[in-house]
Amino acid sequence: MARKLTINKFGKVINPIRHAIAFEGRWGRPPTTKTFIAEQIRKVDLRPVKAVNVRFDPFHPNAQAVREFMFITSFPKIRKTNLKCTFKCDVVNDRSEPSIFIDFENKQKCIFKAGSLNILDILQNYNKVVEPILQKYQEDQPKPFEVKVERKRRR
Amino acid sequence: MGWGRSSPPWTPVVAIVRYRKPNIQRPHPPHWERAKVLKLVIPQYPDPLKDLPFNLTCEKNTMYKDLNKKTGLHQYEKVMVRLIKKRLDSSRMVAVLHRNRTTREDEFEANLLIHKEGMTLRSYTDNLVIEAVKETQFEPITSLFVSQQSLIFSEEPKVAFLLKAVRKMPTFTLLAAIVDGSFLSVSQLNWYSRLPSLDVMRAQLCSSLSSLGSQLTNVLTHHPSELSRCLDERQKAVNAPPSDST
Repeated sequence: MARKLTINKFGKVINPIRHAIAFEGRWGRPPTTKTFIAEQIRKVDLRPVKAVNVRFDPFHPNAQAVREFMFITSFPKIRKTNLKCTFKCDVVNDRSEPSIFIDFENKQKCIFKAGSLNILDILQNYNKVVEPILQKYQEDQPKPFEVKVERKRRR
Repeated sequence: MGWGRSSPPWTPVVAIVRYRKPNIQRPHPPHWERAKVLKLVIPQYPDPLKDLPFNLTCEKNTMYKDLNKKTGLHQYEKVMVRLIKKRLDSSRMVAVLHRNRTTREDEFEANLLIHKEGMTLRSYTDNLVIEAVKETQFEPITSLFVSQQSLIFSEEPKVAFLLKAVRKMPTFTLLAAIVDGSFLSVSQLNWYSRLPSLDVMRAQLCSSLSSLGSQLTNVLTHHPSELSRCLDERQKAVNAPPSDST
């Protein structure tokens, strides 16, 4: 005899043997490009960076990536990581490739030629470049002076 | 005895007095005939999912999602598009700016700076501007609407002021502008700002055109005039009385 199906108040069939079957699959929605970009934005750190110069032609077919990079680096949360870092933007009209010039404090330089780059590519590569410098930077930085506070003995 | 002539004229005074509150919350039912008409007048729209089988109306089916998808612009968006069109048509200069993350305070200060010269700074969503600009002279703007941007409208083309004002707004960068129906880049705007006013330029053009004509006549009449001058001098020399020679 077939088992009677029970229906909950939302009109869905309740599986009577639900607990017997192990759950398979992912919880929540699958990741999209937006989530990947958000993941990279959280990692962006400007501590070892001295200056960021951006040059682009607004009529270039792929000026979007550089403009989005400019927008992302203007977030107050990212700007607060290094207040001394300077930002400059040149708008040109020669159909040249949009590019980002990054000067580090250890006199290294990094150039992104973003003619065919995505914003995700730029952020991933930026973080890839910055991470080892940042590690070294943190090691060289002197540790904060620790003050020992002695408790007063009770008399 | 009636009213005498000496009595003052009587003017009626009407004062509306409401002795109870109007019945809004629970209005009385209408008359039977009126009620029938009101019932008939209620619009009835066809249900798009009524006759479809269950497999298509399942919530997880993509077809179902497509059926419920929004099509076209919302009524409010249409009003906004009309507003943008009106603003574009009434302004002689429209500048497109790239907008970085700005606080409301910064935006207000930028707007204040510009408002003093009769300009307005506005930022709309991309699809509204693209819709407003479609099939107009402003259509090339759409290539700039790929990230965060805002627009400056001005009834007069004050390019020099615009370039100066943008320098004071650190979160905005000028991309391009449409001045008197021509699309100009930043370098072209710089060149435009250095030009004198339109009336001066017209006067210069007129003078250059008239000078060309006068120059041509000078060149053409140079040799005949030279010849006539020489002949005159010769005639004078011949007719002159002979000088005394001792």
